[in-house]
Parts: sequence; C-alpha cells; structure tokens
Amino acid sequence: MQLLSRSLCFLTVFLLQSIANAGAQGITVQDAWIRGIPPSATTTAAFMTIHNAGSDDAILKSADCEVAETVQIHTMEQVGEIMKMKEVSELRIPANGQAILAPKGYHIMLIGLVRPIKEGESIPLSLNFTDRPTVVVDAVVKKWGSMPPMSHH
Amino acid sequence: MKRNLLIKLTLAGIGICLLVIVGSFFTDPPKMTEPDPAQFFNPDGNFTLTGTSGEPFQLEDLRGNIVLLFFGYTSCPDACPSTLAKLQRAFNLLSKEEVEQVRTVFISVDPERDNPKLLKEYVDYFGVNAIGLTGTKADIDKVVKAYHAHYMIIPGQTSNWYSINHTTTVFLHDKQGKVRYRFLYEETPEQLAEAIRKYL
Repeated sequence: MQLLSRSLCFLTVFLLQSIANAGAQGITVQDAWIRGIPPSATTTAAFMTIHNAGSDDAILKSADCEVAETVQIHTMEQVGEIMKMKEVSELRIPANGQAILAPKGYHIMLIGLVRPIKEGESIPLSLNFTDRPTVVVDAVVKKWGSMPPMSHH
Repeated sequence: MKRNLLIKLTLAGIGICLLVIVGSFFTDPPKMTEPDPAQFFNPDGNFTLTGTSGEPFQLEDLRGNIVLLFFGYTSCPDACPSTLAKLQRAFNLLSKEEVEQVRTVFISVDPERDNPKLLKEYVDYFGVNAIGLTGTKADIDKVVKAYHAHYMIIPGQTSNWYSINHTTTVFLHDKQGKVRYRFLYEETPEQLAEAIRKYL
C-alpha cells in the first residue's frame, strides 16, 4: 500500500514536472540525477536525458547550479585503457531527438561544491539553451544512478 | 667508396635501432584480461605507499586476500565512481564469505588534493573493502610505472579544479600477490565476479 502511494506520488511529480518542462519549446528532461559523493568531496557530475520535441535542434550552452561554484559540460573519451575528459562548448540535442548524459559519456560537471550534498536530496539545475528559455530540472542525488546495487545472495 | 658504404650501413643500423626503440613504445602490453604468468605487471609483487591513517602500507600486507587495485583521484567525476560502483555490484554477486577474502586498493594519483582524510572518507563511502593509498608524487609514479599504467594532469580553465586522465583498468592479484587479470572499463560486474571466484 505504501509502495502504491509512493509510486503515485512519484508519478504525479513526474507528470507535473513534464508539463512544466513541456512549456520550454519542446524540451523535456528525464531522470536527472547527481552522483552522490562523500561530504568532504567537492566535485561531482549530473546526468539526465534531454528530449527535444521541437523541429529545430536545441543547443545547450551552459548550466547553473546553486551548490556549485563552477558548472561545465563535459564529455569522456576512452583511449586505450585511459579515460580522458574534456570540456565542450555546447551540446546539441537534435530536432525530434534526444541527448543522453550518462556515465562514460556527456555529463554536467559540478565543480567546487559549496556544501555537502545528501543522498535523496533534490537539487535544481538550470539548463541554458541558445534561443530557448532556460529549463530548470530537479536532479536527485543518488549514489549509484539508475543501477542500484543488488542485494546479497 | 668503401667508406661511403660503411657510413650508409652505420646509418641504416642506427635507423633500425631507433625504429625498434620507438616501436617498443607502441607495443601492446599482454593481451587484455588474459592471465599474466610472466609477471609483466608489478614484477616485484610489492610496493610501499602511505595508508589513510598516515601509516606505511605494503602490498605484501594483503597476502592471503584477492586484491583489486586501480588508480584514480577523489575529484574524479565519473570513471572512478563508476568503477567503484561496478566493484560493488561484483561484490554483491559473491557470498559474504567470498567477499571477506577480497580487498580493494585505490591508489590516488592526485597527492596534491587527496589528503588521507578525504581519501578515507571517499573509499569508505563506496564500501568495497577498500583501502585508499597516497604518497609522494615520486612514490606514486613508481607504482604507476610498475603496473604500466598512466596518468596526466589536465589543467582546467577554472582555478578551482583540474582533471586527470588516467588508466581505468582494475588489476586482480591472487592471494600470493601476483597480477592475474586486468579488467577493462567496459567489462561487466559478472565477469569480474567470475574471475574473483576463480582465484579464491
């Protein structure tokens, strides 16, 4: 019963969020999360899927987050056995398409956290697009992202 | 005429030597995820660094355990937490008795920022029987070299942060401290758990 009401609650929040986001010219954001880190660590990353239902490509230019001094868009590249990371100046979300920001790929870097972040906490993240209104999403702090560890056998 | 030929031969000899030397930089280390009977990686079977309470730590201290060792830094936004998450998932595929015989060793390649306290908090947070190690840059470099690993500090455009490109491979040591397998970043927790079991 508790599970059901909790699911309903999540669903309602999700729907409301979707409706709110749909206003920003076809941009919707799904599954926004921030990687949980220990209290004294000061750098982490945010991940999400950005959908663009519009007929023009959307260009994510920058992002802002109240808990981080600096926010950058980064990508990762595996070269041999070495992981390389670099900042990108923009992220294009194709018309009627999506951009997936996920571990091992694009992510939004949150640098210089001004306070510790807690697992389960929701943190607003503003996505600034070229020629489109800013979209604000609530990113949930999770330790493992969308792959929760399984229980012991 | 003869002298000319001699010079040419000498030059050709030098050329071949150079080719061999340069070529050796590009030679692949033993094939990925294959056993390493020749002990190409960490041939000494030991090294000394500093543990998170400031005490000297030797790899030999962990004899009798399976050791999963990798290099990283606590401000790493993705590769290190992803690896730790993968280890956690692999651990969850093992029984409690099996997990008790496995230790994770996280070697920081960022002595500038990763002090022992931060390092301890970081590895404890991810909870995979992990020990965080640091040391002087020279000591760390020695260990990195012994494992044929690499890292490079990439200065950031902001003053408050820089990133480090680094080897993401996890080195599995058997209970005698010999490197047996190397896990690549794209490999699954299932593959990792299977190999751990093999050496328990």
